[in-house]
Amino acid sequence: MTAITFLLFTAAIGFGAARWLHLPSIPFLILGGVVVSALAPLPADFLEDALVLGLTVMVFVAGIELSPGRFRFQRNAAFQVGLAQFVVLGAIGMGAALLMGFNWETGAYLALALTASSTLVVVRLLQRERQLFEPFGRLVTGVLLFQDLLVVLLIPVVIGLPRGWAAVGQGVFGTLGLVGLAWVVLRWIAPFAVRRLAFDEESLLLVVLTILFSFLGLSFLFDLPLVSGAFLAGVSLSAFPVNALVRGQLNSLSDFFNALFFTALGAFLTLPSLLELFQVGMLVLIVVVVTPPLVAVIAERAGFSARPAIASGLLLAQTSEFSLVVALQGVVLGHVTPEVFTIIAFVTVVTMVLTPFLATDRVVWKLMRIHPFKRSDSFADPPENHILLLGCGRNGITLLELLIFGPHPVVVVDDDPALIEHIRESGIPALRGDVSDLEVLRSAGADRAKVVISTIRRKEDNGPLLSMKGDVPVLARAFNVEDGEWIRARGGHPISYADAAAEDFLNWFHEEWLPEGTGGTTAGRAE
Amino acid sequence: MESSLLTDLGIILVAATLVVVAARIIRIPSIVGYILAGLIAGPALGLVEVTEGLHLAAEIGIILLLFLVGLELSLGKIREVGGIALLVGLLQVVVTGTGVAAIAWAFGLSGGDVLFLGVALTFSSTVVVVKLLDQLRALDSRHGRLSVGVLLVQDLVVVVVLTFVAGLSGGVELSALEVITDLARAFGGMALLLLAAGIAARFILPRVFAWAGSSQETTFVWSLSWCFLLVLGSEWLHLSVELGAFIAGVAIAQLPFNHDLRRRVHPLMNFFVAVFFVTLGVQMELGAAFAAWPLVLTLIVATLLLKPPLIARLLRSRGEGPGTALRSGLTLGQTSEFSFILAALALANGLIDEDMLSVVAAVGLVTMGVSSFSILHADGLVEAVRKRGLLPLLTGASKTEAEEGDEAQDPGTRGHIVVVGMNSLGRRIVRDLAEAGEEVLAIDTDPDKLKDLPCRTLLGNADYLSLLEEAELKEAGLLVSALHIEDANRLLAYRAESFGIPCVIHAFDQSMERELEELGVRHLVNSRSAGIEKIADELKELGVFGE
Repeated sequence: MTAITFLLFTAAIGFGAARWLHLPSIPFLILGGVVVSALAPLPADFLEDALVLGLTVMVFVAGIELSPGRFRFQRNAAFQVGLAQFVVLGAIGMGAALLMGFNWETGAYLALALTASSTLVVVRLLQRERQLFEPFGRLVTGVLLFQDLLVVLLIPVVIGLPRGWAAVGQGVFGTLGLVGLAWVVLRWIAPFAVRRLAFDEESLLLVVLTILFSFLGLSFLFDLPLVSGAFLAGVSLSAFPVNALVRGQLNSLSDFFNALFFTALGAFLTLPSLLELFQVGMLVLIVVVVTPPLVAVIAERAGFSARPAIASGLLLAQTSEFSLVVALQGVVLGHVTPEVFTIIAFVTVVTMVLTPFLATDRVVWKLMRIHPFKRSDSFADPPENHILLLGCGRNGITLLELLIFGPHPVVVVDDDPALIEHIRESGIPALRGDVSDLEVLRSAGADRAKVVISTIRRKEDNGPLLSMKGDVPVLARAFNVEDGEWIRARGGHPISYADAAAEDFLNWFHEEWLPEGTGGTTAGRAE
Repeated sequence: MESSLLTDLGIILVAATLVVVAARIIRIPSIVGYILAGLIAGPALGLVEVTEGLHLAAEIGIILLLFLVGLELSLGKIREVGGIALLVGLLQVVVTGTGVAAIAWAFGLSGGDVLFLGVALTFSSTVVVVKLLDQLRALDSRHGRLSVGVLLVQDLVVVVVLTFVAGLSGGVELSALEVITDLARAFGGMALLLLAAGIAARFILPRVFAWAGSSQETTFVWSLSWCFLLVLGSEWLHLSVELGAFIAGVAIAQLPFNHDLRRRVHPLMNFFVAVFFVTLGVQMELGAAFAAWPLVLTLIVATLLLKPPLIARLLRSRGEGPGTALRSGLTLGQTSEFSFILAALALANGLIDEDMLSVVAAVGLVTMGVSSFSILHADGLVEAVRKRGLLPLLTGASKTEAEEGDEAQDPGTRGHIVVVGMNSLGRRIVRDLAEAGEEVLAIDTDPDKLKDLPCRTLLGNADYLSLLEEAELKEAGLLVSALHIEDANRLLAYRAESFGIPCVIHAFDQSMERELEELGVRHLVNSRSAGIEKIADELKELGVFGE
């Protein structure tokens, strides 16, 4: 009881520190574990149990979240970006490992550890910024899940290599067998069990865990790593509605075991030497320097505009919790030394901590300035009597499709070079630039327009426009009540999509829903 | 990477699932299924042995269960039933203990065995009762609170008993001074624990958890950490882990995220409690009990038939309604898992032999199994007893009192509108619906977003079915989701379809629309097209856009 209380208490401090600093919790949990083990070593048996259980649950839940439907419209882009990042970082990682003096075997583990990005960190950041369901959010999620899949499929190969090609073949064959079984469970067994048998929550949890342990048993039987069984068990439950129904049951198990896992992992680490710290630094540099441009280029090639492509690259610039899984697997099998395990763990900790600082609007904007697109930042003659559209993201494009059929010419300003290029190709005058820059606004004729429509998310960016607009009406999108008041106070017309949607709902409610009943309220209608 | 714990857990969970799912078909309670699974995996097939890791997992199950009870019962609710529970709990222990000892004496057992059985079989099972009351969502009912109160009083007596038994080694008795010292340490420890928890609950925990705010993960891990810290404190003070977990739960029961936390702890508790019950079955050695079947049968019958009316009469004498009194009696009509622990401890100290351990195990297993049915069907049993005019006999109530119903059920709400997601859209919808005279229930995971709304609110995550049950979604007239979370929206549409409740979903992305329509969503709210229409209207008003 003492050991588990210590780990949980350490995890609680880790979560607190992460919340205080607005950073991901995983690095703090690992560092907390390091501190605890330095102060009071925990029993090895207990740590091993915590690691194995935590690892199993984490990988299982990652499999459940695979849900390919979530990124169906970005499937090709996700495949291209994910594969490119996997191959390039894997190759560079292997090269770096060999240059650092490691052998091929260790190199394979280091390379595999660098190839994937962290689902837990990136999804949390996307959720925080409300970008999870934006197209680029879906692209990033797709890349992460594709990479997780690749890592899990390659683990049997990497751990089989030291035992020869026969072991590799056996691993691959066994994995494919489990993939086939996962497909059968996904298509027929899980939907039948979960939907038709209508289990209560307790029985549903039991059934889900039985599926997990059955896959674990089979992976043991086929001499496959535990993570393969756990991940594919999760995949077998990843179709809707099964995944949605079990998510509630597994959330708390996942939170509990993840907290124990990462803290126990920290307690398992040795403190790195100076040489190892240098090696950590080199590998961090590779991940942070190579990933953003690589992902950005591939994403743009796959049809994304510059801003989301760069944002995707910055978001993916860290190693994954699966890197820890790979390293742990290697150290337990004796294929890599505890020191290499420590290197991989510290690369993961550092890159995870760096991500929230790198994946910010400010860094995206700075990188956009060095984007190699041809720049054309002003019109020779500022336009007049036009509709000026500031910001042409997803919402802006839909709006643009409406405006171009109106009686007035439309001019677009956006900071995304690829997007501007695309709009120009459609014959619409467009200017690349910062919408909060007065020069850009003047050049776009903001003070001579019939109307200016701003879809910019940060209200402060509308400040210069509202200060120089003169008599020109400005319709500015307000994302909450406070934004609306701020815009109105400066002479703009706030447009709240939420209010518009609420009005749409209420129209339906009063005109279509209530008249069907008799009482004038929903309760009356129910009677 | 292999782990014996993982293998053992695998065997336990697969066995539990097979038996529980099969048992479900013939309506056998899951607890009985778990113990049966344990008997099959342990004594019958020898697949599992209880290792240190499994023991810890089982103990976590009890801790989480009692933590949940604490979360359910705030200080006010405990105070309400505290006096009655204390009196009835103590009296019941004395009377049942004497009765069991008399039976044992009648069967010619030795003085030591008579005393041991009298003590071991007098208590009721906290884990079984709480688990089933929780399953029935009756922890907060009058009979639920009374039963839990009595069980907690018994837990305190258990602490005293364990202090004695642990000190009795090889028949060497403790001196009077040692007894007083141990008891003073136990009660002093409890006072210290209560004081620490009280100070934390009053001055520290509300501020700390308010800071954690909307981060569900942080709140969850902090709460568990707080629970385990108190459990550890409880252990250090030689108190039961159950008591520490219960006090930890009560200390944060008044905080606003209490209900959400309960929903989140629930699946974790279900997992570990399953391990607890299966390992209970695994540890059973029933061989000698078959040889002593007349004694075992008599003790079982006495526990099942005499304990419930005894408790009912005691409660009735303290003014509880006859129905409530009998329900409580039926709820407490079994022996406790504590009897196994006590028997193991007594065996280790040479106070009893293995045959006695087997007798205790058999009585425990059967009474837990049978009482699971009576707890789950308590309402039906009370009604049947009432109709046959037996309520006065069993509870000591007069005929007139027996005919009156008690524990009035909350009629609940019908036709209300459940709105999930208090973003700008959700809050506006809630305000407008409330203004239009609708009865609205607003749900969100962030307590700040539920502030200042003109309707009832519920804090929690819509992924949990228990949240929707608490929102009485099955009785609702309409479900509205304003969430900007695709997965949650799909799940809500699916749940609404399963419950036959019309729903409106925020389809913020066109790619979701088809799937939501297939799930029978009555109306899709598309904020983007609504916003663009709004801009078009504004442009028309400004005269820059055609009619």
